[in-house]
This record gives sequence, C-alpha cells and structure tokens, in this order.
Amino acid sequence: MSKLFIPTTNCGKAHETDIYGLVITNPYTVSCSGDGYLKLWNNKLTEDQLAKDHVIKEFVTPMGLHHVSAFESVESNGETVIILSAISFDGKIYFYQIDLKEGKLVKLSLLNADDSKHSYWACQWYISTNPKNPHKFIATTVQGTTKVWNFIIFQEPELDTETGEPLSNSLVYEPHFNFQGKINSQTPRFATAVDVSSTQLIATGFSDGSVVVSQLSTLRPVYNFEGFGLKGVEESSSTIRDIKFSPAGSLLAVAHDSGSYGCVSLYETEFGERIGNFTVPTHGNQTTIASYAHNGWVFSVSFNSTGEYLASAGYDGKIRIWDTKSRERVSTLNVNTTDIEIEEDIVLEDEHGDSLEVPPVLAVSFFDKCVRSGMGGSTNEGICCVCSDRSIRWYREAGGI
Amino acid sequence: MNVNSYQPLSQKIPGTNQAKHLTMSLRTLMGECYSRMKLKERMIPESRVVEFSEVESEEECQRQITNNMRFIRLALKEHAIPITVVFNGSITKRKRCEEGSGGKLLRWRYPEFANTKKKCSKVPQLLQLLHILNERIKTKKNTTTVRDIYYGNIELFESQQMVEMLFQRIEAMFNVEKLFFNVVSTQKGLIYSGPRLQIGSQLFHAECQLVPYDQGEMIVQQNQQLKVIVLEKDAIFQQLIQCQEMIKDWIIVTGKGYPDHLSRELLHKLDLSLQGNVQFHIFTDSDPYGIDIVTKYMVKCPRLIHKGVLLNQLITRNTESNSMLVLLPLSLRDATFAMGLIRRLCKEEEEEEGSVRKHTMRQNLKYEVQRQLFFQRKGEMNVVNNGNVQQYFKWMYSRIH
Repeated sequence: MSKLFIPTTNCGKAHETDIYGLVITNPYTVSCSGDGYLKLWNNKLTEDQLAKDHVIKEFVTPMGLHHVSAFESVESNGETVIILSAISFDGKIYFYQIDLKEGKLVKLSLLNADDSKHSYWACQWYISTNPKNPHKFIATTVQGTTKVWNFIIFQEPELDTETGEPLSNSLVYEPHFNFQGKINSQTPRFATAVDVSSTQLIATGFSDGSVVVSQLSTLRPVYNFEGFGLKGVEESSSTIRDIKFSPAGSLLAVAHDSGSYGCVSLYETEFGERIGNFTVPTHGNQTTIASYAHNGWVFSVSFNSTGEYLASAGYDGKIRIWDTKSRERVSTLNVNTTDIEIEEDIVLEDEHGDSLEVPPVLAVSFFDKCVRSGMGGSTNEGICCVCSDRSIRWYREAGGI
Repeated sequence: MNVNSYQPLSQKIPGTNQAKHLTMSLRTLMGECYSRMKLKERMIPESRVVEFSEVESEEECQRQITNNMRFIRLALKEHAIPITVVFNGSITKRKRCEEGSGGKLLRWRYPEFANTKKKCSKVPQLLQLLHILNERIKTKKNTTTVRDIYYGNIELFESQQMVEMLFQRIEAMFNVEKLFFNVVSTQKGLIYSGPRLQIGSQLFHAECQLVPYDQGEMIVQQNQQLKVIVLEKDAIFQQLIQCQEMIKDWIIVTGKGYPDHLSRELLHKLDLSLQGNVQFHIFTDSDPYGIDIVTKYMVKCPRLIHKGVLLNQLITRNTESNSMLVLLPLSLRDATFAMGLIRRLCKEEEEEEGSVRKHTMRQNLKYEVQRQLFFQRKGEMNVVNNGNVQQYFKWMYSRIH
C-alpha cells in the first residue's frame, strides 16, 4: 500500500541560516533557527496568501536556537493556552506564550535562577488529560541529566482553613513551575533527545547511542536500550538524533546513526522489546552489512495522529513514510531546492558556496486533519519539513477530495 | 617537608623575647591558636621580603637583580631566614598598570611547604631564570630562545611551557618585553612562499622556512594569482608544499595549532603590505578548536576568510568513492567548549563595531560551530577528499574562479 503526499505550499529563505527545530500547533507552524529567530507560520491561509507574508517573527537570542517544543491545551476555564519553549546554543531555555488574540509572543520566565544556570539541550512538554494530574515540562542537560518540572497554569487557590475547600472558584492565571526531580545519567554524556509518552514514560537519548526509558511518576529508569547499529571507530558512531513515542504510547521510534547512515529502530514500550528496524531494500553487494533507512543521518522522526505511520527525515534530502505495522516504506519524498515556489527565494548555495541542491532535511512533523487550511486540509493529514536550504515545506496526503 | 624541622628558625627571629621562646612548646602554640589555619600560620617562620619592581633601563634591571640576589643569598646562607619574593606578577598586569590602577602583588615564599614539586620549585625556577637573564644583559650576546633556556636546566624547569609562563611573570614584574633580555620565543610557525618574498634581510622562495624573527620591510613579487593560505596543521602544510605547480603563486603559513605571537605578527605584516585584492584564506580542522584558531588569527588579520574544512564539505566530498566515512563524535568537552565559543563570538559581536566583512565572517564561524554542535560531529582536515589534500585545494579554487 502506498501513501502519497503532494506539496501544498512552501517558503524559501524562511530563516537566515539552517533551521534546526520544528513544531506544529493548531494555529501556527513554529520553526527555530541558528539565526536566533523563532517564527510562527500561520496555518490558516487562503489560496492566494503566501506563507512568508503571514509570519510572526521573534528575535530570541544571537546564540541561535536548535530545539523548540510546544504546550497546547484547553484549560478548565475554556481558554486555550499555547506556550513555546526554545533552547539556544548556549544552553538556555526561553519560554513564550502565544497571545492568540493579538497574534504575538509574550515572554515568560518559568525557570528559577538556580535551574537557569545549567546548560540544556532538548525539551518536551507532557500534556495531562486528567485535570487532577499536573502538566509536566522535561528538559535534558548537556551533562546527561533529565529534569522534570510540574507545570501549573493557575494560581494555587487559597483553602478555607476549616473546611479545606477552596475559598473562591475563580482561577487566576499564573503559569509557574514546581521542580519534581531529575534522572541522573551514570556517566556524564550528552543527552541529545527526549520524549514523553501519554502512558507516562520518558525516553532520553544520548550521544553515545543509548536510550534510557524511565517512569514519569517515579523518575526511575525501567529500560535501557543500547548498542544498535554498526559500530565505527568510536563507540558513539550511533548517536541518537531523535526519539518519539507513538500517540498511544505503545511504540518508541529511535533515530540514530550507523556510521554515516541513518537508522530508525522501533521498540514496544510495555516489555521493552525491540521490534526491528525500518530499512530500505538495497540491491547490490555494497550495502548489505547495514540495514539503514536513509543514506545519511536521520535527524527527525514523527508519528501521525493514529500511530499507523512514521515519517523520517534524512541528510540525504529525503523524507520517508513508513507503515509501523508492516514496517514497510510506503512513500518517499525527494526534496530539491528548486521546488521553492518563488524563484528569488531559492537558495542554491550556502554562505561558503557549497551546493544545496539536495538539501538535508533537518526536521519533519506530521500534522492532523483540520490543522492547515486549503484544499483537502479538513479531510487529509499532512507533513511539514524544514531543510538546510533555509526553507519550510508543507505537504498533504493525496486523494480524498 | 616536615614543619617541625623549621622550628629552630623561628627562634632566631630578631627582636623577640629569647626567654619566652625557650619555654615555648607546640602545646602552648596550640593553646594560642584555636584553628588549624591559625596554627599553621603561626608555625611558618617569619621571612625576609625581597621586592622586585618596574625598571626603566637595563642598568637598573641589572642592579636590581644583582642586589636582590645578594640579599637572598645572605638571608638564606648566613642568617638562615626564609625569604618571600614580592612582585607585580599578574599576567595581564601591564595593561592595568597603564590604566594606573596597579596590579596584584604576588608573594612567593622559599622554602615553600607544599605537597607538589611544582609549587615548591617556583622560587628556585624564578631565581635561576633571573640569574640567566642577568647574564644575558651583561654579555649582550646574540638573542637566545626560550627553548635554549629550558634545555639549560631541564630538571629544574620540567617543561618549556613553564619557562614561557615564568617569562610572562618576569615581563610583568619589570614591566618590560621579552626582547629586553635579548630572549625571544621559539619559532613555531612555518612559511612557504611561491613567489619571491623578502622580509627584512631574509629571502623566501619556494622552500619551507621558519617564520622569521626579524619582520622588517616586506617586498613581494605581486601578481594577479597571489594568495595567502593559512593552515592549522603542519601535516597539511607539508603535503601542500609538495604540489609545486599548484602553489607557485601562493604564500602558505602554518602556526601548527594555536598560532604563536610571531606567526600572528607575520600575518599582520602580510595584511598591511599586500594589495587589497589579495585573498587571505584559512583552513583548519572541522572542530570547535579549529574555529577558535581562526578567531585568533582574525584579530591581527581582519581580511582572513575561513574556507574550510567544513563539516558538509567533509561529508559531500567523501561520498563519491568512500561512503563509509565515519566522522569523529564530539566529546562532552568539545561540546562545552563549542557552547562557550558561540557565547564568546556573540559577545565580541556585541562589543565591537567592526566592518561588515568582519561581521559576516563571525556570523559564518558561529553557524559552523552550531552545525558541529547540532550534528555532534567533528572531522580532521586530513580525511577530506579521502586524504587527498591536493585534490581538495584544486576543487576549492577551480570553484572560486
């Protein structure tokens, strides 16, 4: 079975340099780049509107940003709260709230002074569906520690000293963090990726190729996956690039290196069993040793909303869509810099004059039906990707219109 | 060393009550001093202060060294009293002195009670060096190098770096330059010039030579193809100068890693004396240290452009024949260094209003370090084009023209 995607729109010269991070919220597609900008691309465009004319820009830091993740939830008072967290190349986390009415970003400071001293690398939000449990924010440090905070949106209500009931029912908006705890790494090593599942598991990936899965409630490690891929001269030629839980939390996809190739491994999370690798069928006798997904590092993976499909993005300028049940490739998208609609926004060479004709894809994300406007937007899901030709591209699934 | 062995010394302190001393025991001392630090302080015998200070002329310097030496000899030999050498010794002192705020006074004691040899031998090393320098000034012989001094007493100095460091102290002590003592740093850099190049009295033509001390007037046969190539590594330099035909119009310089003062000065001179259309290109390893080296050269030579080797050059220039290239993983130390480097580049950018060229140069360096961090990889220049340096440079310059 194949699943085809067709390009809907795109934008060249979206940022000044490489775009490292991508996250999709309902109203905006958010990208962050080494130029230090956070950009919010409007998802609801009419046919004649261009993406680059409807973007909110926020200059965060000259250091440059590499990870962005979003908190999006409808709270008990019926309001939608969207908070973005972005991490800079000097290890700081920046928080912004999207003011949906005004269409602008409001800076928040959620970390206390002590927590701000550490250097962070990756972060993720856990959105609780049960109002009794708090939301969480998870961030990994450069030294390999995974830290967890409770994220509380409203002021804690004052309780009546006699009855123990809250004095008033009105909720006062005051987002803040409560430090829950941390998961230490046995040895100092770079924690490159983190994700949290709906079943309350945290997975942390490290640059030396291991993945530790821990419980969110107790912060105790439950599984330790390591030693996949082809071993190179150094143990860590299998750096973890990205990890993602499936929406239901039963699967864990791990993108990692195998030398100069990129692999995607799949695990199930209940018993910690390895299911297998996603591999492209190869011909000839040169590539039989490795079973790889991309002919280049895989920087990003993303499940669709049902968990049936997984998208992976590679340095080889390809996006591959995989069926998670049969573990077969159902589609490949080849990115070429000349795809960009507006000719003057095509970037053929980087600042050193090296060719970007087949630009590495640095991040990919599925988005659900009804997120993007336009033809088929309400019936078909789609994918968005950012490439090192400084472009951002949106696709939707073909058919069904 | 046992502290007690110096007990008799304290009894000879002039002006103290002899009778009291005769009855003094460790117990009474312990009674007087309630903390360990106090007791230690109390038990360390009083010492004579020998002060070194700024000098105006050679005679003054000579006089000061000779007098102080005699004084020290007297104190140690005849009176058996320990000495404390006091001098303005902070390495950055000279600048501060110009501002008039004065530097930090250093106090070095002899004999010193410490548990490492390095700490104990500070004063002997300093005195030995001062003694040698005194001789140098007296005889007014030809210049000597730091290396020669180090090899004069390896056992005492232990490393050439140690001598360099002591020199910095002494320079601050007398507020003079090293050349004042007719001593120069050991040459480290190498230069090769295709066209005839005369620096001062020395001629450079088609052979590899050390960067000269005497950097007088520079005369060079200028032509349209003239280029200045700066290399981080000696190994690349040696390979490149074998390619006579390609480099007949190039001046090639290497500082062998972090450049010394002479190599930087040479670049500065070249920058001043060559026409504006002559290109200055630098090639380093693709790691944070390589980028740091570029910034070191840039200070004195703003028209220097970083051309390689870039991570994506290493990747793309290798795929054709050898797709199994495994780049080295970035260690935790490299990563923290890279983060610091990005921070520094941004800070410099803020503080300094340089030219547009310098700005883009710094920007590009920052982007390259970001890429190294994000990819978690580094690579040596030796592996580019499967180790064929000539091919790499050919490709580089055929592309530019």
